[in-house]
Amino acid sequence: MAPKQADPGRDGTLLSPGNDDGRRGAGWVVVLCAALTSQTSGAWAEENPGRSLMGTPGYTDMPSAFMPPRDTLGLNLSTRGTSRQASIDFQITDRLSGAFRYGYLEGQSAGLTANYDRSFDLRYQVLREGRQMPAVTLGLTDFLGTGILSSEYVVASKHLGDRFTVSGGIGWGRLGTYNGFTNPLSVFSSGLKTRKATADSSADAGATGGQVELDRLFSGDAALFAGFDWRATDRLTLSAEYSSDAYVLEQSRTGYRQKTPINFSAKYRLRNGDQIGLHSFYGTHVALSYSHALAPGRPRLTSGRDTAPTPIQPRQAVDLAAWRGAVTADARAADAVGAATDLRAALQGQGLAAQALVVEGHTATVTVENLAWGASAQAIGRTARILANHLPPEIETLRIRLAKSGVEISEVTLQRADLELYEHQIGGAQAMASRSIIAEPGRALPTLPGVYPKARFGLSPYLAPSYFDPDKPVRLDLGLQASADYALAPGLTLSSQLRKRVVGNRGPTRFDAVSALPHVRTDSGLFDQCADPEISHLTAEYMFRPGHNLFGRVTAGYLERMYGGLSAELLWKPSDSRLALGAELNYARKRDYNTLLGYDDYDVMTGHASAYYDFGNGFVSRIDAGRYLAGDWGGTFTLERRFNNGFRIGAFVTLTDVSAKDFGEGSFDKGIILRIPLDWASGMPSRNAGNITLRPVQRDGGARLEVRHRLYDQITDEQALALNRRWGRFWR
Amino acid sequence: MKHLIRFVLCLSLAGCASGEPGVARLVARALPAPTGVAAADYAALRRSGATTMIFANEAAGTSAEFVEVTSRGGTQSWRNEGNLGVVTRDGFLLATRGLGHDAMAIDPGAAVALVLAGNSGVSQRVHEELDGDDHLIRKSYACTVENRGPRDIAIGAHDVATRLMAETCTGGAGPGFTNLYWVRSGRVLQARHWVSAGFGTLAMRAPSGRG
Repeated sequence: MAPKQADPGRDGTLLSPGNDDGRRGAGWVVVLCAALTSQTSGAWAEENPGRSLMGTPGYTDMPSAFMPPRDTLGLNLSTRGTSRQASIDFQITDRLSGAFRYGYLEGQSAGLTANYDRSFDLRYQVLREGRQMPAVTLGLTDFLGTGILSSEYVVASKHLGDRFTVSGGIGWGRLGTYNGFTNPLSVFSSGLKTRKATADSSADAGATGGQVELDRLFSGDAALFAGFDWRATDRLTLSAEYSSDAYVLEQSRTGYRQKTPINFSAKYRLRNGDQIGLHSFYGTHVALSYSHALAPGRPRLTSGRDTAPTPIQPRQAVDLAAWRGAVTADARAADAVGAATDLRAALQGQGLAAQALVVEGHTATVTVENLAWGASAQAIGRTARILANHLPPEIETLRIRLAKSGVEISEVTLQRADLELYEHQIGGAQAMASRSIIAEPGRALPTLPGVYPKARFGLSPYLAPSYFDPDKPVRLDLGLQASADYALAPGLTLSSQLRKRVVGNRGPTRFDAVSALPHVRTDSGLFDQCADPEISHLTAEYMFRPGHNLFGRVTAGYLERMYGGLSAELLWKPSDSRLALGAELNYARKRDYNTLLGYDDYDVMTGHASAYYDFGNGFVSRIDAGRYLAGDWGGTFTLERRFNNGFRIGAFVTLTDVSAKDFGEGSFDKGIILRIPLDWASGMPSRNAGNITLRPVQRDGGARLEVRHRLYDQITDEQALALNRRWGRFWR
Repeated sequence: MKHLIRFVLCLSLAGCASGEPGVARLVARALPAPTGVAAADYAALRRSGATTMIFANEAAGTSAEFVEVTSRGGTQSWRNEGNLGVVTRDGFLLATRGLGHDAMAIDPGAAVALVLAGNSGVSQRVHEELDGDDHLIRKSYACTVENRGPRDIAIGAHDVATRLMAETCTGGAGPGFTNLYWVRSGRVLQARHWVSAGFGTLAMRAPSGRG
């Protein structure tokens, strides 16, 4: 991404006005709390290579070819002089990693003293380290744009024994500025001899950044760099590097003086695996860095602090307790009412809301909604044990249906004798999986008396941050929210939420008003400022099963804080299918930020056809094609790493028929997605999570309606694929 | 525990984080405070004279009294006031629930017969644990059981003569561990059970009056 001046005269805005609501906002709290409390195991921390000021594995400024273990999420901070940067990176596969960086760079832009810069990096390890062979990595830094950080490199690194590493590489762009020589790649194309000027340095006011300019990659002068480090103790690593970055811009603009291309650093690994670095560079400056690495697949508590499940009682004890050994049909019937009440209470005590119970012959079918457990397989296991402890002894087959919003999503059939046999056995979970059947539920069961209508009320504080306004990189609102949900029947829910800000500084920025498109999202700051109190949503929602493997949703009312209207969605998703297909059609009308209930006069028909594919290796992709809020047509591609434990990290890009110039800063919509389950962070049972969508810039192109309860994420956790993946928690 | 407190403190300072509006509150209502129902159950069982056992987290230096909630086919399920669960059979640990790094299932193998009979020998044990991403990991250990001779242990106010049996295990890609059993007349009166690398050791002792 191009660094942009804080200049409203240009068509860029640097703000991502939070169309994130408090739920997202709360996400940061979870992230911070998780970061503060997560602890990495020693062995894993050992595998994490030292990181440079750029946040990537390396020395001071120069990269190495090493990669953190797969699935590592890195959070990095660094400060040098008056510049600071924060980055988040993820090791997507063993060889591929991606990073997003946000920096405050003093004096990096022509004519201005400071600017804020967002950039994306990709690194790919071409060769893995062998006994003789070094690791070789190809890196693109700030590749989405024309920024002053942009560089490309090929670096080779090798461990020498346990305590030394050495790296050498060739860099282009920024890494080709010290002792540079004519690009060796220019033998293939003379065009590679010179690097096109950056938008920044050429004062090309029309450039918007965000575009992958392929003809800039690996162009211009190249230069060599090298690095070396020595693990002096288990905790302390000392390193030296020969840098090929001459800091050309900094020297001319901010009086940086480079005395030497040799930089030194000392990195100290804390007991929790965090790394603190002290760097000296160019003989004139001192810098500090801090890195924290998370392993989303390894929460601090592997099995959580969930309370113990109810052990299965001997069947004759159940008979005596609940059924008093009654043998006549009349006595049984009399006991059945009391037993059903006890059963419901027992399920409720485990966060399982019973909605239906039907006993026929030797089979009992129950419908429950999992309100408590991150893994629905765990909810199945707990429901099964409670059933075994309450049902008459002649019941042999247990069918457990999982519902969401009262709508039955799937049905798991188990044998009571299997539960009794495998409860405490090695391989017991696996045996239960192979002896259970997960299927589509049949016709919906009649609901138990007293389940509907069901009202819930809530009052809680909220925290809503927004990011990347150059005037205030983080803005924050703190307030109170009240909510009410009223479930009338299975699937049919009225719900609302009202928010009142107590303190905060979210509001419009200097750049919001500049947009060539209808202000479908850039007005968000005005909503922040003026809509107080705010009705975050006020909807009637109906979720239903229109047919086999089909799910439907209709939502009407104030769909989100900026839009009201009508939204309808249909999803085809067989329980064990990796593929899902969906369609959504919305009529959206923009709300008036000056009044609590009014509408603005902008309205639009928006909707998408969507295809979801679960690759089965932890990656889920999604393609949406259709019409966006500003009336633009295009598509969104999303790729997520979804851990079984509910942790997700992903990225998306949206390309629409809006030109880069009309879109403004960033050229097109893109961002990263983080979902951190509360139970992952705390070890306490919960289905909640902190959700964060981080966009470098929120513009009006490629913007989507934020309607609640889109079907895919509502139902997939209750279906066969997810149940099987988390089946290890069946007996938990 | 320190982490949990820090985390909860952190969240409470910053306001409530909720992913699905309503669910957090609902769950808070649906799931009584861990000590609520469990404490009542526990108290009721305690009053009714259910069998009790003391379990201690050796690393943390904490211990609690557990009551037997179920005994089915010789397998005993214990829980304490805070609703943590332990499962034993013949004084051998079969599973834990709620310890953060639980043993989801344990098969102590031939060690049971050797220990109860006071014989030395070799055995195999198998543990199943969760890995944090909801996979069950199975770990196998090769163990040696040896008789370390007579030991007097204090049960309540009395000294009771027992025989100390040690089961030393290696494998499972870890440093290994030793389980100890203080046995009298074919019954384990006191023991040290290894749970998992993440948790460590769980000590077990019959309360007074069961010697």
